[in-house]
Amino acid sequence: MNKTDTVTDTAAKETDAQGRPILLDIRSLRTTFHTDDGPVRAVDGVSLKIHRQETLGVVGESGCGKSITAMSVMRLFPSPPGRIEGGEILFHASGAESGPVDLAKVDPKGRVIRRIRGNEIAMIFQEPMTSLSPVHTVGNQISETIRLHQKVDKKEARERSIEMLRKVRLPKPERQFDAYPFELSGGMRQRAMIAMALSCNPSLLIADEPTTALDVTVQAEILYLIKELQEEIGMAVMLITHDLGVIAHMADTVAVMYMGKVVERASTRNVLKDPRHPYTVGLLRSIPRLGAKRALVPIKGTVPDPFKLPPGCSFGPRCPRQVYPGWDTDPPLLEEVAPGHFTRCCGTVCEEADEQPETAAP
Amino acid sequence: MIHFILRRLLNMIPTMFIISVVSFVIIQAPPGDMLSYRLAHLEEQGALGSVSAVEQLEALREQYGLNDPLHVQYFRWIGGIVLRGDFGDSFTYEMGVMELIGERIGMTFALTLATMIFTWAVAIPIGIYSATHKYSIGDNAFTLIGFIGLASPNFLLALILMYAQVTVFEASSVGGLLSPEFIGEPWSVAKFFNFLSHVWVPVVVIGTAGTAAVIRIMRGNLLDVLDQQHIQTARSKGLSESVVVNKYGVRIAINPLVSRIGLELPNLLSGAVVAGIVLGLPTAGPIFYNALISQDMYLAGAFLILSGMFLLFGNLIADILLAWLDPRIRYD
Repeated sequence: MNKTDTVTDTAAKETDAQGRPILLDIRSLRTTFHTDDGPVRAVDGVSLKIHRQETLGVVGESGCGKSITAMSVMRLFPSPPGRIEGGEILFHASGAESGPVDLAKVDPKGRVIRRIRGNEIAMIFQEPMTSLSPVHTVGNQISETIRLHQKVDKKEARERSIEMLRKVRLPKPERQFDAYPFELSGGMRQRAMIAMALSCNPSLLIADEPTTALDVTVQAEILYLIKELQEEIGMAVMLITHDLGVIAHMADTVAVMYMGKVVERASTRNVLKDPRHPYTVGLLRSIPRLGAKRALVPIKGTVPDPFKLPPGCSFGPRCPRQVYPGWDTDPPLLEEVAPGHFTRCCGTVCEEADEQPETAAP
Repeated sequence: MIHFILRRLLNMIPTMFIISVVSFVIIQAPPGDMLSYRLAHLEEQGALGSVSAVEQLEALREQYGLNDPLHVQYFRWIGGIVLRGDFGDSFTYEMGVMELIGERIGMTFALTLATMIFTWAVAIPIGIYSATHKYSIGDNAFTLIGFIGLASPNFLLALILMYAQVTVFEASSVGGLLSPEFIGEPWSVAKFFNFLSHVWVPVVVIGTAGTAAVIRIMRGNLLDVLDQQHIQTARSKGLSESVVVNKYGVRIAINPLVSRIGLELPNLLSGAVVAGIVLGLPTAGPIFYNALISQDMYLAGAFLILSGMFLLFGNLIADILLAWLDPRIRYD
């Protein structure tokens, strides 16, 4: 259980296939919550990489640790009870001569992280209805961020805020500047939230289920907007979702998480067309598709109790490949099964002829 | 906003009418009246049987109109208040009610205001500290002190503080709001400082329970607000923790406390009764108490009406403040 990934897969390689330099390098991160009932390893040895302008999709069901991974990068998880107990979060800020900052080591209330939050790394949340302050105007909340990070006066901040509201295509941006969040619809609030997050041209946007709480018709608009602004600003996006359809549309690479661990990591194409981990396979099979002849296949069993993790592979008890030796004693390591395709499964070693799933067309 | 205030003021008229009827019924409710109380006194002194005394009382009863039907008495009473600001005469003191309590009402108001300022100035910072340092030693200590404050009866606190004044501070005069030499003098700097040196005792006595309550409410509210998503958003923008707590936390957590102002005003008036008696304060409370005992109906009625007005105006002020503080509240 305490084994962490070898650093081999995260070492030295500073650019990706397109020659984009590395931006965020999470190495063997462990974030634990010390609750009254015992410790919960919410993030248990996660290694991820995000290159500049890249979109990384993080998928997994509720409670798998994807949000806490994001919160760890921002150092926003409640502490106590949460604590980073190991690993590194190397952030390569733009124009930093002194090399990367290890966000795992900084003071969560200190100056270093506060200068990065909202400025270098911005975040948008799942619930647009509650993520803006109800008693401050939209404009006040946006221009506050601009004035905090860029030394501009009130008038300049106001103009830039209105410009951002125009960019996110909020109708009548001058008027919405003085509107209160309760006067906007859910989709409009999420647009305002995006305007606020992107107001300082961050190099990384963490979007934690940005469309889950929205109408289906609005979801696509918001995703399209994020993608468009991503290209305009040239930022990277860490997109957290449980919707593989969203991943197929948006992400360059995908990390699939289960019980605080990355179980599969590869390019989006590889994960969707050639999934190697039985959990990924299960996720893909449980997507309903129009015209599909076969019934949906749910993953059997339920997520284990975080206080009583199985000793071996945490997916083991639910896994159709349990026949492989050692699943219930030795936790599998993340292994490279194809170039750039990592998976954490003892079954892959034997490479039996598992039933291949249908490919997930977006 | 003007319309909102005007409409609220108009709404107060029927409410005030109902309060006045209820007040009148209450002061009439105990069996007998002011004069039978006096009769009982005479009886004790063995003066009963003296025909002239009984006749005298009968004459007084006629003079005050106590033999008239109730509704006639009510309209005579309320008419005087509304038309002439005349609350009638006190039987006990044999003078006009307003004359009797005018200055005391002013003193009561000053004391109430001082108490509220004390309560908020002490309780809100402590509440914020307790919420942002949940379960710390400081939080637990304040919680303990708060519960003791809530639980201790204020007359006891008054006695302890007076004892402390005499023994520790060796004060020459204890109780009241002024030293004897300043009573009846015109206001001067020296008198004001003398007032300040006296006023802290009743302020602490009357305000302690309220302070403890406000600490608990502020702590709970702020903890709720700090759990909300928009606090995370504020942090994710890179704001410092103090801006997050004050601008986004306290700003919202304080709203429910503002609505307490409305309830607190009449509470302080009545809460000051016991403390006023123990400390010998020249406030309205002790006189009100005596008026109830001696069935001094017009005096008691004036207090009930005034408490009602305190309550209504307190609520109005609270509503105006809330409407101003919280953009989500509609005026219409």
